[in-house]
Amino acid sequence: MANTIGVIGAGTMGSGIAQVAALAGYTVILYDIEQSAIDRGMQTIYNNLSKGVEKNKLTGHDAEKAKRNISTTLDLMRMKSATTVIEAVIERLDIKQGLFQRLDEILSHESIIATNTSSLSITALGATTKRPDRVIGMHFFNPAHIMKLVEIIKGKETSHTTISRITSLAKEFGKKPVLASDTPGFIVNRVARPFYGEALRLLGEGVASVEEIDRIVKKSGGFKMGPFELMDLIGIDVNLSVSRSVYEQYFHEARYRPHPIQQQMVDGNLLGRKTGKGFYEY
Amino acid sequence: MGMSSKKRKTQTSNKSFLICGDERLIREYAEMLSNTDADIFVWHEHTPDLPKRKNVKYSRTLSRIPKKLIAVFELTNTDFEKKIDRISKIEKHCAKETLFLSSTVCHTATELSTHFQNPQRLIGLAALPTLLRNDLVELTRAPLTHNDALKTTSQIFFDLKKEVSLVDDRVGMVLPRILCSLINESTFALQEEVASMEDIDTAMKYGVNYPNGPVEWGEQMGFDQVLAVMDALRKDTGEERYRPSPLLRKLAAGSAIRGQIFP
Ligand SMILES: NC(=O)c1ccc[n+]([C@@H]2O[C@H](COP(=O)([O-])OP(=O)(O)OC[C@H]3O[C@@H](n4cnc5c(N)ncnc54)[C@H](O)[C@@H]3O)[C@@H](O)[C@H]2O)c1
Repeated sequence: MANTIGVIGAGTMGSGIAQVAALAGYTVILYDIEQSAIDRGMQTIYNNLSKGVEKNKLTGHDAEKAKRNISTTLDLMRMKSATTVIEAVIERLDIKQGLFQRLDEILSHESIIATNTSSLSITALGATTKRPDRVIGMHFFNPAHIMKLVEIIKGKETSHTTISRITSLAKEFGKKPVLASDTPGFIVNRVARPFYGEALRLLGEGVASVEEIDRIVKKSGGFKMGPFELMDLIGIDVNLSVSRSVYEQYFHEARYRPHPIQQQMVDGNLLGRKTGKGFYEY
Repeated sequence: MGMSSKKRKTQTSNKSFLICGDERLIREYAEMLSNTDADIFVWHEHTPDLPKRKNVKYSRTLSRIPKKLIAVFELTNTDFEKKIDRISKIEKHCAKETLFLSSTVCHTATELSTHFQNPQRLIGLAALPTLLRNDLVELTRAPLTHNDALKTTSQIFFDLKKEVSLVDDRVGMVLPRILCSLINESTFALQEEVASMEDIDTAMKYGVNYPNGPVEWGEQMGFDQVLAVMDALRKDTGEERYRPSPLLRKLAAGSAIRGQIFP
């Protein structure tokens, strides 16, 4: 395929996105500032592809082809040939803005800059470039090679053409795209807030225990995971920072207010699965 | 626990349940109870849309319904005055020892119990449409509720292949509070044009694996039910976070959501 996809950042999300694009037949250039990050990212991709073959989700041939589709670089100039760049570096506005300015100079006029940001304003990122109509949100979910959803976020200046090109791209990646406006938390991270927030309040008010709330939500509500199990999986620190970000950006709207239990857990380094202890022990 | 279920199956006569309350709930509870060998008497002002089963009987007046019942299911969430009226009429009609299962989604069992002559037999139920699709029923109790009322209730649900969970007596209980808050939030997002209702539902099903999208869930549940829960939580806590969205209010008032515009 003639189209080349640039992926910026080879971390958790960037490597997953690169894998998805390569499997869809695109030529992928994966960039990071750290060689170690690239090595780790590529290792993750290789492992995931092998797992995919083991589980009969893909053929060995597909996996080999996907590997050949990805090249890596520490040189941002190599993005020149990309028609679409998907940015997935750390969640910091200053770093993303600096990157967007450089990309704006390097990329051809028609190329699109898509960002995987979870919480930053697409409009604000677009405004740092001379192509705000070709800046868009493309929000994957972790793990990106498994989760089907991609939120496509239109900034104030994002054009219809850009939206339809990125929507088609998401479909070619085998994803389910949804379109969201540029508002804090987009769809999922906003609408899901009460799932955690109310569960924490119920716990704090002594209405039921952690185990009982999870049991009710799963067995009476049909959810695959209870709110506390899910917070442990996501990481209580990550969940708190999403809550806090949505809360701050909505100027302290009461519906998004975090709960002191979250802060206490974070202060105690009880972050969930990754530290071996959160609402449950692992 | 398993013993008495066997015993009860053999005595087919003289077993009746009474159901009354909000229509969607009447239908779902009648459906569930019609799978037993008991007679199900539905008491309602006008003929509700009921499952067509031999053992489901509709009556406009209480006088045609047996006084001796296994249990009453009083399933009113949307209208408190009607709820109290129904409770007092049923209490007058039924035998004193009748088990009384009342929805405590919008009011605590404690508050409700003050309207009872015999609150010892009152058990609170998280009765909200769509929840009987699943395997667990949330219960609560009032201070004066007898332990054996709780035991009998657990046995009834056990026979219906449902688990029970006893939670503290609080407006919204556990799942109704979480679920209605989610649905309310989705109507805020819809109202603010964050995304279309289809996309909001798709996002929640594929992004966080919810069994239903919140908008379609609200539709299936009835937005009037969701509004009743949010209004009750708002009133109970005085907290801004439970404020229903203006769109939720309109949807509850009956403006259709799919295929029709809601201005
Ligand atoms: N982790 C998640 O669950 C998740 C989900 C959806 C979206 N996101 C978003 O994806 C983005 C990346 O998150 P992540 O979890 O993959 O982070 P990560 O820490 O795993 O990876 C970030 C990568 O960016 C690299 N990097 C940092 N500065 C850079 C620069 N100036 N140029 C190039 N590379 C640079 C780092 O070396 C690192 O490899 C963030 O915007 C985050 O909000 C994360």
